[in-house]
Amino acid sequence: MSLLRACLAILKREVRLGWGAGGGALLSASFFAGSVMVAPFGLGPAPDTLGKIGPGYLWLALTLASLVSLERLFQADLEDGTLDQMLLSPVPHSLQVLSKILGQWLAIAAPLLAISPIAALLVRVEPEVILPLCAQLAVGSIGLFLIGAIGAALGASVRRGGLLVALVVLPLYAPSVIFGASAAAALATGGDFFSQPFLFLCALVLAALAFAPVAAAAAVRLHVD
Amino acid sequence: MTAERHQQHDVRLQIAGLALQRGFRRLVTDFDLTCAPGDIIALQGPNGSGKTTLLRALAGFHTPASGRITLSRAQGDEIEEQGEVLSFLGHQDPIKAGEKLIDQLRFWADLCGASRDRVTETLARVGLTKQADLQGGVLSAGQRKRAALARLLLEDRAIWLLDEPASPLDQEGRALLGTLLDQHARRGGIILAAVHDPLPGVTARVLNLGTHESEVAA
Repeated sequence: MSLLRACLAILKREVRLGWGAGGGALLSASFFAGSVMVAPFGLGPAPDTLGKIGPGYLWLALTLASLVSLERLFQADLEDGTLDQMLLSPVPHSLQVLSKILGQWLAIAAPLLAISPIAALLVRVEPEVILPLCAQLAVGSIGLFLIGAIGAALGASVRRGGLLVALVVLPLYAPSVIFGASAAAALATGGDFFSQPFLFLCALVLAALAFAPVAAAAAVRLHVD
Repeated sequence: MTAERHQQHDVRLQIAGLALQRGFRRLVTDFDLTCAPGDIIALQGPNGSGKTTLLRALAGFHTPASGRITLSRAQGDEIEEQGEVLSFLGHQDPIKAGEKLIDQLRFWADLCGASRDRVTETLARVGLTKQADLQGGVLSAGQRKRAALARLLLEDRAIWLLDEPASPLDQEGRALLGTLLDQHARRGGIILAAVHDPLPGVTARVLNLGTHESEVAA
């Protein structure tokens, strides 16, 4: 299966480059950890307030942390000509983009999600809610990376394009954050794991899985000319 | 030497009435060119005359203002996907600083469907065996160009588009480039190279851009 082999190669390379020297895969995770760590100082350590805000705050931190890494998603490949070569490969470009996004997700979001249970403890989320909440964060983070890739692709040729990318992406993030935070609130008040907002979030992620790679591939193609 | 290495290429390239534009500037108008298997073409012209843009248009990265580029096989069927038959070597080298050279070439082999076994052999061919385990960031400009040539060999496609291939190479590297170009042309490959100095080791048809007239020399 040469198609599968090519996609896996792209995915593995993203992880290898992310974790290699100067890859910066831990940037998002440290941003996430840092923003959760200062939450008790900013919001007050009282368990009842913090516990109420906590689940939603984790979503906020996840959203902003995933923005941090977006700028470089396509930029490095555009600058060094890797993108030219990938366009000339027989693998459909949208599939390449999908593999790239999933590779970045593995490299960047996996460490973030690994520390999310500890982060949840810090913002006083009820212990029995922590694991389901983190599972929902994991599902949501895939969606955030996919949607964010569209903005990253549009801003790929802009120097210091982080601001532009954030401006494009933040409105697109809104639905995921709204449904994600409502699902978290439902969990915290003793609701089901598969609550209505979480099902909506899953639908959003699936839609993004289908459309975002195509949109990002088309957008990134514009910069090659 | 594998059997596939001896296989002949049979792709033709035809350009008719091509016009290229950058912003409001016309770089090339009414450009016609037909390349048969084995042709080596050196594109010459002053800086900014559209050599790189022409190569990028052929690779499908740049949309021409008008005209037609046709790739076809000897049997006559047209090729839609440039990636099947075209390799592009730009002036940027797609080498990642934080990855071992051998891993980068394995990645390109995976991407174009070449056998991984050929990677070490190809590195030896371009004289980079000792550098295989070095990170991309420590390679010199000439070594990076050699690595890009190795990628071209792995891809094993009929048409090579080369943008200033010889510029960072040393004497030995230029001789190597000459050998590779010669071998490729003998196998029926087509080479289009944007150059300022003559291509080493081979006789090329010279096309001058920027003067709006094409002439045959050498």
